[in-house]
Amino acid sequence: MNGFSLWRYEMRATVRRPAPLFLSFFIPLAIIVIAVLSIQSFFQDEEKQIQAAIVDHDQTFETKSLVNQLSEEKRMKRALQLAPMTSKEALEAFERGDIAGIMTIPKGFTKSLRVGENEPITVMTNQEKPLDSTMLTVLLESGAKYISASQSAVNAVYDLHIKQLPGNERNQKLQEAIVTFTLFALDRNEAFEEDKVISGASVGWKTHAIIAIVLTFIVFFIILYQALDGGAHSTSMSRRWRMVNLTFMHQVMVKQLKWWLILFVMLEVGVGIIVFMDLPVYYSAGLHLGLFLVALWLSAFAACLYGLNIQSSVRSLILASISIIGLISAGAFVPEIYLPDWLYQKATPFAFSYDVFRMAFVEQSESMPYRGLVLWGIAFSSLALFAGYRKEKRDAYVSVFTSK
Amino acid sequence: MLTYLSLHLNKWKKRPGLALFILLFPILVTILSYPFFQKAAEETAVPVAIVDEDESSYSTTVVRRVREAERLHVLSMSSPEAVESVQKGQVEAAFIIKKGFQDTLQNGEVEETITWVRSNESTLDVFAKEAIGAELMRISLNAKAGNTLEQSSSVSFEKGFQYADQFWEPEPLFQMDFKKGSSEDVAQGPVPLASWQMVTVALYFLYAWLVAILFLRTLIRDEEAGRLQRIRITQYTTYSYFAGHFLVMIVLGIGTFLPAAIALFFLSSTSVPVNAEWSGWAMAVLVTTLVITWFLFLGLGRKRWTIILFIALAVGSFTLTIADLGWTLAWPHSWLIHKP
Repeated sequence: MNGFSLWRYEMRATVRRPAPLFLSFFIPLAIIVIAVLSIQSFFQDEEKQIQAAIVDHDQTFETKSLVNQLSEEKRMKRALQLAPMTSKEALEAFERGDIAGIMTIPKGFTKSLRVGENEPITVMTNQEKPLDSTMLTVLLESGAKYISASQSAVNAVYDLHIKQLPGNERNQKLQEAIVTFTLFALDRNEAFEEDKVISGASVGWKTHAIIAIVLTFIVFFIILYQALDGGAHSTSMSRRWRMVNLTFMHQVMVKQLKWWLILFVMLEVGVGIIVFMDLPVYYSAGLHLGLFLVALWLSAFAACLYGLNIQSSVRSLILASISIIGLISAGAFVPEIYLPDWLYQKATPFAFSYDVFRMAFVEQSESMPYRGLVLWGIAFSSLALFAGYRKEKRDAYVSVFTSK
Repeated sequence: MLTYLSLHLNKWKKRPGLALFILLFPILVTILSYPFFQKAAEETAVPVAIVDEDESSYSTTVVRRVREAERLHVLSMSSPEAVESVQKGQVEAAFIIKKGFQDTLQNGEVEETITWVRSNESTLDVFAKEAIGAELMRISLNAKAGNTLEQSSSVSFEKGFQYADQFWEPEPLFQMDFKKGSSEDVAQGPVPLASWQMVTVALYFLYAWLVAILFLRTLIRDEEAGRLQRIRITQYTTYSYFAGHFLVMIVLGIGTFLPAAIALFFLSSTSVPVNAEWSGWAMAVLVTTLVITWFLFLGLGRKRWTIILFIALAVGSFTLTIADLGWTLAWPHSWLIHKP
């Protein structure tokens, strides 16, 4: 009965002083909204063609066909526009931030290519347009390989055959060889026969991003909330509670129960918002149970540090550090399939939590995260109670065993 | 003035663990997590399955070379396994090198020699496709050169093939040298800091600022407990009290920020002049920010709500600057990033 009084006291405090709850909800929400907006603007920019300049100091047939190879190929053309410019124009456009990069072909480039030397072409990418620059790098790198392939073939035919031909015929044959091999290299997409299958288990980038946002939000929330709400009772208050046989251990227990309840509500609200945004969520009893258990272990984790009597700012730092590493290793930011084996850890509570959210989006989910979540929840809760009990014992008041 | 510094030092000495933890947290995190993040970033790769149904020398060469490609995690498996893995989302895509691959290439053709199995969720597999396509083209163009030579001269196919292939060693003929630059340094030389370094330094800056803001609570507590009043009565002036606390705040800010920033630059092997230049600039921005925070705090009447306001401002400054949503001039974090 006394325990209920403590619970009522806690809940009344929450309602009467809602600032911690309010701040813990809106600060992470604001940060996440800003982050999403910024990422969105990033991707919206990306749908445009990438603009880049090409400065050709060599101006030969080969360099012109090279520019053609890079810019006229269908797939490349969709993604990249290479505009020939003088070096002054290119620098001006770069300074204005109009282009993602400048590709400069040095004088004497063709000559060096013909004799098999490899004088590199310089490409300056714009650091202020990171996505455009990365795409430009990838496109040009793959283009470079195709050009190397066709140029190797041209060189082989030239050295072993065309070189010996009389002057007039030599030039004509060389042009023929360049055209044949260049066109052949451009046909590379024909080598692939595309076959699409339906993927039932992977969640896709959009859903993954949503899960990452909700998980990050909920972790942020608990970090802030436990810091703002988890101040220890004053000595006089603790003594008064002790008089009715309520010790620090009870406080830990009630705090955890409260955080558990609030986290569960937050998680349900989170999933509710996803549904509200018209995304297909498979509501099931299993999902609610999963959310309930995620709330259990997260609240137990925070309560455990609370029970250890660690100062609230330090607690937040510890929680934040562990959570960031935990979320990364659970594949919450970069999906698990891209992570190296040593990094992806299936048995962490973060990975189980991710699985619960995956259940919301994938019909045939194979994972069963409940057992793991229950185990982690119980382990943290027990540790929290044990820590609370130890502190009480140190203070020479062990009411759990002495009171009725 | 220094009395207050030693007073706080003594206070911190009482709980040295806590004080050291708060002070050294950024540097600890940097030193402990840097190798972790570095290794994780290096080894993150796109998983693809490759099925070699041809098992010829050409197909094994392609598979071997693709395995060496960066950012690809190539798994060999059978055709049904590969399709199942794509369906289960365990790999991004599967590439099946069909039977007769070598014969087709030797005939100077490439059409539909590889089946590319992907799902509706596959995105990054185009990189794998480009890598495979490049290796395929290397072999097929060598073969095409061999064919052309065999038909038009006395050179054998094999000799032509090998001759064309030798242009790939030690480096391919056509190379690109990628350099990073920004609009500001077209005129001024290259920018030395990578974007991840910038974000990390901005985080340290945020941490140091927050620690300094939370330190301001001491002044509120002193006022509430009547200590400030006692000082005013006994010393007639509170000048040294405020000046002393201002000094402590600056020391605290610099003490949390500088070691971590230097450690980061050191770990990521940034050159010493760049390190010194950036640390100096960042420190100047930090001190300016703390001075502004201090006077705002005094000007707003040293109230509890100002702490919350400052925290919101600090977090907002970091988030809005990193998200790059405009209003950049107003935020200390953007002064930090846009070093003149």
